Amino acid sequence: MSFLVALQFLTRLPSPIRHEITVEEMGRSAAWFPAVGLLLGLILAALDLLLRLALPPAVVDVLLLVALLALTGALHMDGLMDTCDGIFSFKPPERRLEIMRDSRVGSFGVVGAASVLLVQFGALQSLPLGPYGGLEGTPLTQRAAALVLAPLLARWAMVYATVAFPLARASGLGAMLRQHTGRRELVLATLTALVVALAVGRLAGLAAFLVALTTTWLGARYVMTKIPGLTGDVYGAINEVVFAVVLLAWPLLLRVLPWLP
Amino acid sequence: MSDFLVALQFLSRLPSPIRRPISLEEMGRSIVWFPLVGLVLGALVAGLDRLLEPVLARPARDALAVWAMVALTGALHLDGLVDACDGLLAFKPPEVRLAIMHESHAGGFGAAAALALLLLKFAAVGGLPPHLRPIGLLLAPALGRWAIVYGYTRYPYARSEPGVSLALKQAAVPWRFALATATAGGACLAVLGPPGLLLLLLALLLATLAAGYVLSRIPGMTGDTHGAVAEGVETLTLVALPLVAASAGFVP
Repeated sequence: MSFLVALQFLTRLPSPIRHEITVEEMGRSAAWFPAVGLLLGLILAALDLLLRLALPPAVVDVLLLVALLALTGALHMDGLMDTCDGIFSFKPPERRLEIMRDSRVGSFGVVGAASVLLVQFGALQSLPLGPYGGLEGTPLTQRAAALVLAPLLARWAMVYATVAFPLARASGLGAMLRQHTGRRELVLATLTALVVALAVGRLAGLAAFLVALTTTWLGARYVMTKIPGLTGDVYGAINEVVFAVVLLAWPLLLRVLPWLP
Repeated sequence: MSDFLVALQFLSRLPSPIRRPISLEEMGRSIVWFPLVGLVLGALVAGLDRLLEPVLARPARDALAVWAMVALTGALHLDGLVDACDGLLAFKPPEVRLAIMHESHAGGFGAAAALALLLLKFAAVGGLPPHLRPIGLLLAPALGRWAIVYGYTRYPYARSEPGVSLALKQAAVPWRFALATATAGGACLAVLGPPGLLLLLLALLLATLAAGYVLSRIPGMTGDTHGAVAEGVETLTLVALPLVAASAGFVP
């Protein structure tokens, strides 16, 4: 049930929920964010197999990003743009928070989104296509493993950022969520992320989890040098960046780490 | 001839020889020439691409071809895509969606859509095999502009205030649509033979689906949504061309 709330919140997939969702339900649903990420990842991996039959690799890579934007209604990319507009503006911290609230996009936002999208594209282009060690005979390639893991870890990162870092303001979607997202939700989300990361990626999956953790920590610390705490927009920005960094790191992790059979 | 120049001036930033004010009525009539303007723009881009072939690496030419289309049109249709996405996807009632489309600022949905579309065009141009490359660059703008004529002819217009879009809507009568279709279809046939008509069919399919979505969100089409459809059809043409050519066993 809580999973469906998370699904409705994070995606534009049709939802069977017919009643008004309370803030408490929404906050608690954070425990299921990585599960939603897993679902998105599986959709991406399946789409990838299908599209590769007919289209050139670069076109497939962009279409995967388009699919992710469409599935999420550009929720997180929008957060990334607002975050960039705010934290890179040469204004005092309170004014930066106001700018983030403005739904219009400024030049820092466009440049930020263009850069992150281009890095995501480049990272997808460089994913290795080889079969995954220890899991021969399954359709799981090194590329598919990354397509499953990256959206999952990106959504776990939002839960971690929500629970482990202070909020910048007392109102807004982020604040509402945080009231009801606590240690319990973080533990459940982390368990889901770790189990799937180990199952799909073995040792390299665990390393990818650590990459996501480090990226989130560094990103959140950086944002807090600009504004007094995080906001819902920042959670979205962290999602997009962690997605890009996990994809970027994946080929390197596979080269450096042996994986268990 | 004069109407063609009006269309060229409206749809592109090319220097225009027209030195007098253009009436809304002329503007409307010029819709019949939209696909031909697309062919002219496409030929310019394909020509530029050919000129740069000896000096630039392919990915650089891919990006320049995409950029050239944006520059030649002054981002007219891309701007429409941005506004259309901001309005259509807003969690607001239909009247507010129309008002958001009118705003000149970009929002998150629009910016994300434009970036994704440019990236997709870049990848699609890069995915064209050398013998299909000039064909794609030539036909995509023509079919994109044909889709605009189709949209104006077939679907209701959402706004009532006088302006270019309303003039285009009033002038979009079946015989003009037929001539525009003959231009676009003729170009596809001339370049690719009968399989070229598959591209026209795909353009028709996407334009119809997109208009269906737009009409589910707002009461009619607007200039912005027609521009968004044109961008979508251009991109689809570039993506689908290798498949269409392969399915027909097309060899130059």
